[in-house]
Amino acid sequence: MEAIDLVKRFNGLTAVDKINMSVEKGEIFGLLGPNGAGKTTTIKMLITLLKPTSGKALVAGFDVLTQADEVRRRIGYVPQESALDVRLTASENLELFAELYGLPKSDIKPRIKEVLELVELDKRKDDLVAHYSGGMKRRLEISRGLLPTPQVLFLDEPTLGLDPQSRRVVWEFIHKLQKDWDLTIIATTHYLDEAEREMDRVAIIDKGVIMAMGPPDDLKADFGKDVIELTVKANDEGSSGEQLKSKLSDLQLGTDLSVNDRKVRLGVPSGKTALPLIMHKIDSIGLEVESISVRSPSLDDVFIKYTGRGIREEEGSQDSADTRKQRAMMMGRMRRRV
Amino acid sequence: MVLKATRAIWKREMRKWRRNKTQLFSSLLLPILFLLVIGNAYSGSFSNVPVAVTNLDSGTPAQVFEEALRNSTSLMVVATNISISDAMTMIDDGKIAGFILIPVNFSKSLLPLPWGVVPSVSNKINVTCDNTNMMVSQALEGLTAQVLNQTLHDPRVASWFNDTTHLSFRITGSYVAKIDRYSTGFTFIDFLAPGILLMTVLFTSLFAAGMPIILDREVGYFDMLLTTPTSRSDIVLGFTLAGVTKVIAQATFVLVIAIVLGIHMALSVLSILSIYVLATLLGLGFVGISIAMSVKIELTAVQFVNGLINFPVFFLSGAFYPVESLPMWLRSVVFLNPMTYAVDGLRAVMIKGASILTVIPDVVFVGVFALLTQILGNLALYLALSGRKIQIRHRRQKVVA
Repeated sequence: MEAIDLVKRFNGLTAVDKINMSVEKGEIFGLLGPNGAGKTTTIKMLITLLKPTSGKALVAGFDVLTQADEVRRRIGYVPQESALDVRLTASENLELFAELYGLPKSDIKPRIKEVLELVELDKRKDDLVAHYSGGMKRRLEISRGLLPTPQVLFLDEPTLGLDPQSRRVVWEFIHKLQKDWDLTIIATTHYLDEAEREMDRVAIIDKGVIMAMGPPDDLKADFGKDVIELTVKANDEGSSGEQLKSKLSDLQLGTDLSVNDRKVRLGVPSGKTALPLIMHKIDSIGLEVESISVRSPSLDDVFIKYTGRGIREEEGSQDSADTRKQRAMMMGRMRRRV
Repeated sequence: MVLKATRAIWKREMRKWRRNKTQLFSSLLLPILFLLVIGNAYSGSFSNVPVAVTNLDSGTPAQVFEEALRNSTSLMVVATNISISDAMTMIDDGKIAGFILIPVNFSKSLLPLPWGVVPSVSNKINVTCDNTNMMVSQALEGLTAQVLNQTLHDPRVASWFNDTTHLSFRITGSYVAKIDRYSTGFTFIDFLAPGILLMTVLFTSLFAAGMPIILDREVGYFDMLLTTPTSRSDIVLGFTLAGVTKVIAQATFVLVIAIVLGIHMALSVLSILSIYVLATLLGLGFVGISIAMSVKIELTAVQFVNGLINFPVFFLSGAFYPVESLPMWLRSVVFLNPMTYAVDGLRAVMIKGASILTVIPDVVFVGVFALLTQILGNLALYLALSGRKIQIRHRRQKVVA
């Protein structure tokens, strides 16, 4: 999969701005970013649902613009929000898509059995999807994405709204698929811990631009070996954090320095040697330390470095957006029953 | 196997349709209710309309007329020989729908001079109607005239005329004789049946294809269909055919109900064929409109927009009210309404048993309508898909971006 200078504008608003990336066969590639960063838009262009404003993208060697049907034959897509027909059974849902993918009639039944067994839903294949749990629906959707024997599987927030246990189960499946089917998997997520744990390579997107790309460990290594996080007590001049930041940058200890009110975060090559210097500096300017910690860097730190804010800071609004979405979906379903 | 995808979509729609028992049941019940309630309510025949009668004339015709009024099943005489002011109070109180006054010289006005008097307003039968109730008040005038007509043909009136004048009996003034073209006793319910069949077609088709698309669009299912290597037109065709199947099933059901209710129909292979051709074409036409609408309209707006279409299309078609009762400016709408032609054609073949040749113009008009709306529907969807404006949900997301 390859994207070259991919751009998408909506009414003058640039959702995706000249994205360049290339994903190797058999890789799990993650698109990371806050809501509205352009992750879903990027995916939609790659799966031929949206036409790029400019630029080019190849999926499994085919152009998404000029060879859309060839691309569609080689990809599986699991959308962000559950898009299953709850009034059909699992196997009926799959049967429809098997036919739309043009599978030969004799292959349809065994194929459905195969993918349902893979996601361990074969025992409940004749239940209406309306009676499924959130995790089961996700698995069913993944199995639908696998129907056409894709070369590339696109997962848009595969674990959104699932409990931690179901999230783990979903990722176990994804890894199994990668191994057994030699699938290329492109997933979006805003759970950084997941990205760190599960993905081979990630791209951090913010405001439609790729800020950084590489294996999570490399990205973290760029940041420094250790992260020192300290909170200072407020003083009369108010902005004690800013004050400390300017003093610390004089020390030239590490690559990164960020401040949030009274909290200062600093990436350094070695926490052990940097800490005494920092403490000394703080003493010398007459500030008092409230708390201090030294730890290994996380993707969250990397994320803050490139976007200037934590992905967690958006969690509040993200969560309410999730519940809103779920409520809207539930209402949608209720209306369907009526 | 181009149609494989179409068939798959069709199969899915049919499954869901069968499974939604509440929807299925109520959509079957609606035409029955319409036929029974409206068919009987506006049947044009009245019974037991409450009236008061005051007879100031002692002549035989007046006595015979009063007797006939009492015996009429259409009327119910609740008071006799009351004063005019009492009668007006009774009308005000809603106790009677009308007051029939037989004036002193009514009998004499039937006689030629020199025995009788010159007919004038003062010696005509006076019917005072409660004209706040339009339909009953119009009917009352007609009913009274009917009873009067019976009276004048009563042998007692003829012999009274003869006794008084020694002339052979003749009625002065002209009377219209109504002759029914068709021997079967048609009622309003027969008139209504073709309209109800097509109303069912109209209601079903407006919801049948567009609604599933809107539902699919709102939950992102439509997008999923579009990620498959299927041509867009195959998908739309699947929805269209599913809609038309529902229409045909509904029409069949109404036809069966009409037979069960004993509605007068001239059924033959050819007339049944024309019924299905007209119903299917009309259904196809409104399916096209509903697909065109599904591109833009949100779920919550569907019922209102559909109501906006249903109402004029049904009521300005002659399906229910005769076209002749409408003012000229509304009639122009009637003449553009495809439903008018479908109703006209259906009434001709289904009820009158007219030759199939007479409905060809109707079939052509409805057919052209179906063709145009199908083009419109597919074009709207095609444009929406190529501009990708169909995903209202995702458009909302982009505002955040």
